[in-house]
Amino acid sequence: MGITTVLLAALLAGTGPSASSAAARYEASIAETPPSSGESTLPTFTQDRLAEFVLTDAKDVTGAKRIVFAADGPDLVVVAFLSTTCPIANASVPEIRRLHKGVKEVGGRLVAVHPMLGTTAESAASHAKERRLEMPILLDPEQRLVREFKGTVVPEVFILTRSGESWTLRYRGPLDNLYAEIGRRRRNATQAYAREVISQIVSGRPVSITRRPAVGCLIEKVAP
Amino acid sequence: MSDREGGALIGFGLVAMLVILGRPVQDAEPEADTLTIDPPTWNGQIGAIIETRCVTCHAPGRSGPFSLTTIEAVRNRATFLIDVIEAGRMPPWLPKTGKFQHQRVVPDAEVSAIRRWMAGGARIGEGPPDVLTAAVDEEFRAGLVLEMPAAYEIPEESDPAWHSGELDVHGVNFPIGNSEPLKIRAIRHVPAAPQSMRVAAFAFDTSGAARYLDDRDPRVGFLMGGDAGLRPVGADGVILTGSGDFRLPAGFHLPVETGSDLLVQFQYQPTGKVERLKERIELEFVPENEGSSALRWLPLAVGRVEIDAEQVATFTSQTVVLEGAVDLVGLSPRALEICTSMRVDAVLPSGDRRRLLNIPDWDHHQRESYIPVSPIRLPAGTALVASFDLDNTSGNPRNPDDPAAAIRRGRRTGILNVIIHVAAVDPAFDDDLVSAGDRISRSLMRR
Ligand code: HEC
Repeated sequence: MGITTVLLAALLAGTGPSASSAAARYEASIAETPPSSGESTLPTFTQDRLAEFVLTDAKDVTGAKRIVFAADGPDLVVVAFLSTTCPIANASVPEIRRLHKGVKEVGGRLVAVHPMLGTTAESAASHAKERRLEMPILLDPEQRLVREFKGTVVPEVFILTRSGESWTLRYRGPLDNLYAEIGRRRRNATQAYAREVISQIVSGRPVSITRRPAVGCLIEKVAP
Repeated sequence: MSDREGGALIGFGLVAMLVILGRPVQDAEPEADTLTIDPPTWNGQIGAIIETRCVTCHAPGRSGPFSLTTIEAVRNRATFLIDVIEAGRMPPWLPKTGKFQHQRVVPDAEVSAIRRWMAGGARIGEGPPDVLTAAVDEEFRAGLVLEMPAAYEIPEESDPAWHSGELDVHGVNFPIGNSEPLKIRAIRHVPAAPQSMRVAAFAFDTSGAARYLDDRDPRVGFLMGGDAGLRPVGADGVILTGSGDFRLPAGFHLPVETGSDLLVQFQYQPTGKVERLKERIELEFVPENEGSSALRWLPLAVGRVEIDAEQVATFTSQTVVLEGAVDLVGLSPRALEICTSMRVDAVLPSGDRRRLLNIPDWDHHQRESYIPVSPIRLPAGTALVASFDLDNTSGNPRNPDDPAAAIRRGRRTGILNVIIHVAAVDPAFDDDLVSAGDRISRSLMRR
């Protein structure tokens, strides 16, 4: 499996421990981790494959398209699938903002993607404005990206890092533990899973849990 | 152990009356034959099902998070809709037995029709697709309208540091200052932000306790950690947003003494954005010269709750024995978030047991008053008891404490409580009922 030395070098340049020592710590910890912890069998995608996902920017009035995984972009990309009307996704908006801030701070990129049927650029843009979502808001009306990632519900986040020409899915699942099931909501989340993954990646620790079941609104599939 | 042992016997003076008990009403069977025409169409049956079962809440400006008034809106999430109906999550309705006003259930035949409609290509049917409309409000003759003087802002997510005790609730005292007694037939709650407002619980107050708490808190309304005074919120009804008005059957009223205030406990759920609550409450009076009996409240409550971390336990209320016959007109449950299920039983003088309320999957965000479609007559000598199952483990996602923490709480009418709304059959018994609620509350406080 590719180790994200490049990413770490980019993320840690000028801050804290040197990139090489972080990478070394990371390699060492990986070596100690039993395969069951998951990092050995993570799905990977090629840069060329992911570069195909060019989605409409809902906030751009001219309907500009954005490359989600740009060849010259950062090595850490977080995709958050959202909806304008799902109460579970909406209740998670404050946490999405916190995750966005955390990802930006370490030089990564977070984009929100709308895979739900019937979402228009207008509805997504006004939802983002009303809820102060400052990250790029992209539309996936044909559900190509969400299908590639095998996503089934919103909200769900996908955290990927690049090493060379290969992207690895380091985590997929809920943002936090606000919901245990539909209708089973904690008063407050007590575990920020996605932010924890980011800090594990940045500090060179292995991602302890790489996949958790997401809880949310089912994505109705486009008619074939 | 019989239900009468161990509980306090609350005697109300003896009124002997012979009563014939009404038989429990069976749930109505759906009209199956109209639903088996295949494949169903939107204009044929599906629109009508969604309109009756869902659109009361899932329409613009209502409590549901999205509108289901168009065929596209339903098609675009149909699998999810079917899932939540089958999981018993939607429409919100907690009791699993009994026949109550506003009962919201989707018969299996209708769920299967929706599924067959999807499988058959979600067809429209004849002509352009019907656009559904939310039912016009039930008739309501507002005799008095009470409004919050200013909005109270709730945050985008719950703040654990905010409240001690009860969470995501806000108390508001509405002074009425009536110069003569009032007879209330119905209460309407008009929420300003229906998607974040869940429950409004009412108590008419003459003690001044709610006014005092409101005056002491500089904000609109006040931080509400429990009941104000002996009368618990909910003693005069509980409304779930979107479920319609709180309306008593003909022949009954809530009595409001001269110079009362209306205390309302608003329970909300943050929606991820700041919302402004500026609630309106409307009261409908019993028409002049229409005879009606006053409703009294009795708590079936647990006075003290002690449960260690990682424990599950069942708590049983004090037993209340009626010494005179009553008509039971409603039940208003209230429980901690870690309560998982509850029930109310009546043990009749014959020894027969009758389950008045059965909630196998409690959700404190979906509670309301349950008003039997016809009042249930309970004869003298009936013993009433409520029991509650609590899950204080860390594995219970509704546990506000993670990891679980021991709970040691004793407070007034308790945090596990089903209020029963009853009227004396013999007016002579009413005097006893009037003071009974306060007396039980006081005895719970001593526990
Ligand atoms: C009494 C009002 C009411 C009725 C009737 C109602 N809903 Fe809801 N519905 C709500 C509310 C309120 C929410 C938001 C719940 C939350 O955020 O916790 C909701 C949420 C949902 C959700 C999102 C998942 C969830 O549970 O949060 C679905 C799906 C849904 N409703 C479907 C339906 C369907 C289908 C019907 C009709 C069969 C229906 N609802 C009837 C009030 C209602």
